[in-house]
Amino acid sequence: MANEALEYNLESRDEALDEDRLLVRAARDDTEAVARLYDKYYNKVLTYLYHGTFDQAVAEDLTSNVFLAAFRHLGRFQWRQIPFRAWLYRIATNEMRMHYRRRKRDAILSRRESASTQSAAPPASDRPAAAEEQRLLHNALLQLKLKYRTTILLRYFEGKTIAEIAQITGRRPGTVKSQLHRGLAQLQDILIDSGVLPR
Amino acid sequence: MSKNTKRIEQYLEHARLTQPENGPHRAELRREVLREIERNQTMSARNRAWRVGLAIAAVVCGGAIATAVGVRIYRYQFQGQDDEGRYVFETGPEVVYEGVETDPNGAERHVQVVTSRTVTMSPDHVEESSVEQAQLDLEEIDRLREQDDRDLMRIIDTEVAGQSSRTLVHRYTLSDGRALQMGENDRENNGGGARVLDSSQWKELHDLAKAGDGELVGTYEEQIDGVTFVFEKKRFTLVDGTEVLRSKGVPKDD
Repeated sequence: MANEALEYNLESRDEALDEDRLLVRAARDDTEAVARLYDKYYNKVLTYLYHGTFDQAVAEDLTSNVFLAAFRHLGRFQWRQIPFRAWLYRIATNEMRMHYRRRKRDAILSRRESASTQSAAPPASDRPAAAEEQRLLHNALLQLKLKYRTTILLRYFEGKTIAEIAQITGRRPGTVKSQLHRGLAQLQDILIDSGVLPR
Repeated sequence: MSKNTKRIEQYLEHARLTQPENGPHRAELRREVLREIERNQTMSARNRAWRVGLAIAAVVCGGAIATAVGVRIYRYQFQGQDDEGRYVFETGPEVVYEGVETDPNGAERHVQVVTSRTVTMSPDHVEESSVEQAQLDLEEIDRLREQDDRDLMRIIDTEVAGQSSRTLVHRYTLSDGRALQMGENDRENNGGGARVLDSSQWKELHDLAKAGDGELVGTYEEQIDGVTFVFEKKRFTLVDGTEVLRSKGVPKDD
């Protein structure tokens, strides 16, 4: 059963890659293919960027940058020799990195602390306790260095494998594993301190 | 680090994060992307018409055109870090000239000029990704350079003891959206000024310029590739007494 599941999973991934390959090839001349790629990946990219920033407006701005850059440079895409979706996540990761760099620079220029990282409050949930736990998890993730945060998001919330994260971030699989481990250890400490995880 | 992360892993397996809201952004961006693609396709159709013209010319000119339009890809090897922590990459030896020359006695000899190109990258850039990624970035930058798909951001002229050299700082936008700036020697305007300074002098000059030191000598404008650049010329005196004139030019609109 496990083998069947694995085989099915692999096959469906290959099909998805093939579909992307065809769509990307067609997208150079066909706006219909562009629209299909956009519809397929908009939510994934927006969600990833939202989880990386916990700011709806910022996530939407960065998502715009990702898709405009991706389709503008589609002709150069094959140079990187990675699947299209990994390429999109790579652009998104870079956009997030540039966003935080710009914000850091702005904070230095204006010499005042930006409070927005602490203002990430999830919408009201059916269960207040669950909402509070989500808020604490958000804040804990925002306390991590961006490289740890993106690795954890990609692994646990986007379901990427270590190999895929390596493709997205341009790092070696060994480096990804070690960053994941360090990020998890830090996140665990933060969540223990905030009472989400028992000591 | 060998800390046990089992608990957090189990927690994250079931943890949920709030989802972004579904607003009008999706439809607005979709329209913008499709508009942009349609515009690009129109432009690319015009470019294709040009390429047909070029292909006809290529048939006439044969090998010369093939050499001119071919994009050569260099493989960059990581050599290590320099004293300031910058990452140094170098291509293997490449033949830049090969031919037969006749010496004054009438004897023919085979001449080959071999060189390699060295690039240093800031630690920030390499450590944000990896050495392997930086190598791919350099290859992509080579491709962009061959196609002149880049923006000229600054021009730095350096004059030492009457010899001058020009560095062009281009911005390259990589296919994954990152933008890298790279200073490159302008071979057409290289009078040897760069070679007169050693690496410690270069560092000192760079630090002085960064700190805003130097005596303002004057400003002037120069047209380069149809763009007006405004230059600010300053005189720097290094600790060893070497006098350097350095002009920094930026596009007038900036």
